[in-house]
Amino acid sequence: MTALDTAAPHAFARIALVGNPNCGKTALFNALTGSRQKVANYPGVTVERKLGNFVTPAGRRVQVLDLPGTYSLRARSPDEAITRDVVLGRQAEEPAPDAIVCVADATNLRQVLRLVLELKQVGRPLILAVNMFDIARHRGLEIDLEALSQALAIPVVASIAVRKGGTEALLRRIDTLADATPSVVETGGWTEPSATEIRRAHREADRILKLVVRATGRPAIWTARLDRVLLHPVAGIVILLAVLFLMFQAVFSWATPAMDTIKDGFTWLGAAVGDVLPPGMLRSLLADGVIAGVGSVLVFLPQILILFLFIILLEDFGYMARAAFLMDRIMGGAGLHGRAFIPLLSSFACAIPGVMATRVIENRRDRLTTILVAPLMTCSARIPVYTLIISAFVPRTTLGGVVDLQGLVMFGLYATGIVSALLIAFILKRVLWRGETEPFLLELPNYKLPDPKNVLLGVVQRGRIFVRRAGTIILAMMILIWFLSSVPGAPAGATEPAINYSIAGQIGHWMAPLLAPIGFNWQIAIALVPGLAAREVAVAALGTVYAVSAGDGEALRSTLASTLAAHWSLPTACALLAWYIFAPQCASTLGVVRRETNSLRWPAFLFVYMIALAYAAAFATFHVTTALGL
Amino acid sequence: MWQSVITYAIVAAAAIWVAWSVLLPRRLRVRIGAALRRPTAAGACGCDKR
Repeated sequence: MTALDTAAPHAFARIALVGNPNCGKTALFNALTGSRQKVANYPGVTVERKLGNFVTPAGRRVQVLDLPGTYSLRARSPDEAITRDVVLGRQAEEPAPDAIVCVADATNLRQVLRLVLELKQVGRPLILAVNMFDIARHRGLEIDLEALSQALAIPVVASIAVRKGGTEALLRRIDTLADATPSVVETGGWTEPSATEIRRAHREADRILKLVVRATGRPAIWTARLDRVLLHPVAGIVILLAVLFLMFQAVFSWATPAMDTIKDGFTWLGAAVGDVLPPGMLRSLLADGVIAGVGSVLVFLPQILILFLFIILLEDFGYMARAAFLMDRIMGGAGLHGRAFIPLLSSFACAIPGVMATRVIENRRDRLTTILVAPLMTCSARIPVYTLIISAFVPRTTLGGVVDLQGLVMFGLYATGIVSALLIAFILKRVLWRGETEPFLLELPNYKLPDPKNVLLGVVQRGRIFVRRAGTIILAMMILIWFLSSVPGAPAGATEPAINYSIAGQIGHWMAPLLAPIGFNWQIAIALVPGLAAREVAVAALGTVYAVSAGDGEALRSTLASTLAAHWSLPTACALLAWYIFAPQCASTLGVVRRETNSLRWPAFLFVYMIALAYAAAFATFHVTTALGL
Repeated sequence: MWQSVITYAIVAAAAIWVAWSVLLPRRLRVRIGAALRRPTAAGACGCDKR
């Protein structure tokens, strides 16, 4: 079957980057467009198409599409289906690309050759960019690009996406191909290959490989040596736990000086506002609402940065794919597919990319199970809540002179989230939806030294997201919380604090009986409502509510942690921690679950089961800790 | 007095922002944006996500 595509007036305006997972497509996209999309050393990072622009040396303005990785156009998972549909021009509201740049990992050409043979059938102008050419050469692989070009009958160029100037050959080739391409391109129809055709393609790929790879490369010796230890069934798990444990220890011990500096900065700012403005509404809004509220969240920025520094370093090094391999047996026991590891790992940053990353899972029930447990992973928005309560109630001591107690509690909270996710997955997959778990195939990437630029960019991006949220949603929410906590003012002759008469105070008192069985007071009730927009808003709300309660300027003299330590019992603090492990307090996550499942039923189910779990966990924690006399 | 006026203006702006960005469904926001001929969101680098 053939189709005749009429190209747009400005022919060759749009190219698509296609290739196997983890071959460096997004790194190439970033290099071409100057964009800063997430790259990591494991497959499945890109699950949606991304669009950018660049200008070729001849001045041609080109749009470039970065597509999820695939081994074949026979898409088996939702992310692969996006790639297939875009390449074939079947994606709604998406013009078909004028040309395709197939990106190959130079150290693993065999995989991509089969894909190239399929892409040739599509009939669009095609360039093969052999990426990571420097690594292949370092390993002694001599690839004859000229012979490869002749064998495939398409242009072939080398590229090094992470090096400056590493895309020049590709840019020039795009210009040459664009000049040679007629404005009307006849595209061939692609049909799903039969088993015989697949076998034939395998043989053809092997034949070409023998022709073009002139020397046998040295195997990645360090990768094999490291894997013998890091993938060991016992030592590997012990090392994984040790790495995670060290990470949380560092989050607490390294962050303290920077946190103290930020805290001092906000105290100074609050005092400055008090000095400049006379007593009045605006001074109260700025000091008790904006500075006390937003400042109580921003103070956790160093911890977020340190946590993501570790995560990005491990991703870039290639360790995260090994962690997926190590966890496969445990996850499989709970009924989770091995590919669920990457979405669950992404959920440690935020459940939204985590839920979207489930597109790499082929089976619908496996995917749904992962979506339903992903929000139980401890996202970065929970960090301010956890660290606030830990710093207020857990003493800063070390156990045996080595283990930081606060870090240990944090590690325990993360571990509880993971164990809960496994338990829920077990109930869903082994009890409710009985069925076989499909086998897990994961291509383990070679270890690489982390790229400092990529690490720095990743950490800065996470920090920017956190600060942007503090400057937008949290700031706006705090202004409203301050208003609701201040209006109407106390009547003449009132004996109680003014906040008790305010709208927020009345809402809090109205909700208090519902939350009393789990040990929450009315101030917590006030904080939980805006916390539905984003979890860390609850911390800012507590900062504002207690600042307004304390009266003008009082909040500036004491930290929120010390205020909570004075007002809450330990069982209340423990119950709030238990609540936050499970509470579905993130409207955006519910929204993305709705989008990914294309149904209202699953976000509703997610909300109900998580809120029920949160209430039950907080209830049990409060009563057990009270009974223990804590 | 002047402090009250500025405070109420800030609170009103925050309420409008929360209503627009948080409470209003995304689909409705996109529709209103399109009706007002507001350009679609794009990153500083010129890329967007779908």
